[in-house]
Amino acid sequence: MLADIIENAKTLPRAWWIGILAAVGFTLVYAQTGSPYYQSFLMSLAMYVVLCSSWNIISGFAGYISFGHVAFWGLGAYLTAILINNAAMPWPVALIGAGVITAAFAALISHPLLRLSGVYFAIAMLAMAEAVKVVVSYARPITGGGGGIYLRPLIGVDDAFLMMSLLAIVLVAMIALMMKTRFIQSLLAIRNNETASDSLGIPTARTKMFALVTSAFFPAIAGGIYILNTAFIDPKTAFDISITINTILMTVFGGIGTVLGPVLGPIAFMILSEGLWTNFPFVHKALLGVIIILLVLFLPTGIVPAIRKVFTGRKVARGTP
Amino acid sequence: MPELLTILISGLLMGCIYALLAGGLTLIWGVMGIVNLAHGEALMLGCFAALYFAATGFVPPLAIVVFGPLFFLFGVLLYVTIIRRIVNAPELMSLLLTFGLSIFIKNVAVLAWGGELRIASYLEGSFAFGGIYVSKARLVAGLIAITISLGMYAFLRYARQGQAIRAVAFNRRIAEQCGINANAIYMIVFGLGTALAAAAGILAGTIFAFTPLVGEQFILKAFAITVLGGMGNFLGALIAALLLGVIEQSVTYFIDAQISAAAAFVIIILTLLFRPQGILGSR
Repeated sequence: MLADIIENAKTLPRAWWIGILAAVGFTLVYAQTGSPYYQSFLMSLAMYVVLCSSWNIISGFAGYISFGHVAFWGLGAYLTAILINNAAMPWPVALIGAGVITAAFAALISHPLLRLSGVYFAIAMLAMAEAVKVVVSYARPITGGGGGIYLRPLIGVDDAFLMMSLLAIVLVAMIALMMKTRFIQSLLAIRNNETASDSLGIPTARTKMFALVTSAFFPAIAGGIYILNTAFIDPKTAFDISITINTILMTVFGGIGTVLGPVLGPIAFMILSEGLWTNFPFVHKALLGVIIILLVLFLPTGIVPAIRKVFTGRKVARGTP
Repeated sequence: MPELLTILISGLLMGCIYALLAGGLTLIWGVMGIVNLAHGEALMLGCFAALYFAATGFVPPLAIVVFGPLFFLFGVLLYVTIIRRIVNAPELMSLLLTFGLSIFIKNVAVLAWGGELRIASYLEGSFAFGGIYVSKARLVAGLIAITISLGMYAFLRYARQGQAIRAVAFNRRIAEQCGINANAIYMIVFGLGTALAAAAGILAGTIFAFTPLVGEQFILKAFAITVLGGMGNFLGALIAALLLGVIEQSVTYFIDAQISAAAAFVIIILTLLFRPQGILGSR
């Protein structure tokens, strides 16, 4: 795998390296100089880049549409808080610990859930997220139940922005570098024809499990960073289905199964919905419905393939970086 | 013992209404392969139709006679304008499109009618026989619901149009070669599904207080029923709905109302894991 990554790094266009360096540079400078309002906005943006890119691994590359991704984010937030409050861990350790536990949880549920496919997998993931929500709401001694869980405020919005943004950059860069590896190529093969992939010797079960685990780890870290900054979360926020829905919409908007789609999608979508909010405060949700319908009818592959088509004059297969 | 019977009957009556709602969902899913996330919104519009009927002085359940055909036409209209375009698209696209439709209808309803709780109640009190209590409104609603469901089942089983619908669900291409117009069938199915959900809404609106957001709680139950009954299996959905009604009432009575909301999810997960073809399915 490492050899593949190095090979991929050599062939990655220079624009990619410039983009990554620029993003890192901007993050480092803006964390020092930016206003808290925009830092907070950009933190949400980076959070959605993380969520979308992670969702894109299992749902975009492997084709298993997950409707329960918020569960990993919410678990990450809760576990971070619990590890700090109950196990007295320093926050960086708690953050990593929450990511690892959530990834282990994903590995555990992957065996039964990934046997399902299509709409059944989607609904099972939705049910899984709701079940986690109920369990968290009832485990009152540890989670504080429906009243939520509190934490000492540990990091400011500037540090939260810094961490979230770097997490997003690392994840996107990692995926870009891994596009030619056996792992992601196997996922694409599974999406196109799972039976054929199986018969070609791809260990489909193990590959899908690894995809779901990766896809759960990063949202958990994002959830942890979120709660380190807000210092409070309750089951209603932590397992809010609209976070899953937003993630799916943004990724589809950007271009499902592409590397840049989950980056451009959240940017375009958040600017758009911020604009709708301020200009149409009462009808913006109904307008959102109209936008979703138009998106599905007229731009189902998202903006990245559409832009690429404009530049190259030809259609490019899904899954090219 | 009377308590247990009271719970059982009240659960079964609730299940009859669920059956009506889930019957529409499973019909659309089974025939067209579309999971209609806007199905709960048809139910919500039905609730408001009942309210409108009650306000004009009629008995709310009668609204089914007047509004049933109107909702059928509404479904047909939705199919012709929007749904038709995504029948053969990947499932993510149909899920997203119907979700967009759902939030559009829901939020227009909030703008039009506001978010407060309403109810189209018209019958008060309960019947009592030997310690068993049955709410009058619930009894009427349940009986109407089960009648419509059984009528629908008979239609699918025996009527010529119903057999054509099942033929398209079984194999679209062969059905078309036998001279069935599959697009017309899709249109009828989407209309029927919408009308069934609206009828369920008209009846539910006489029992429960509702807001424009009521569809959210019901769509998940309809999902659980559809999965438990076997996708596209109308009779399976009927049985699964009665089962869910009884389970919910029992859990509410013996444990907690909040946990009973989770019953649907537990059913989904367990069914998908142990019997993905549903209780009556054979795959």
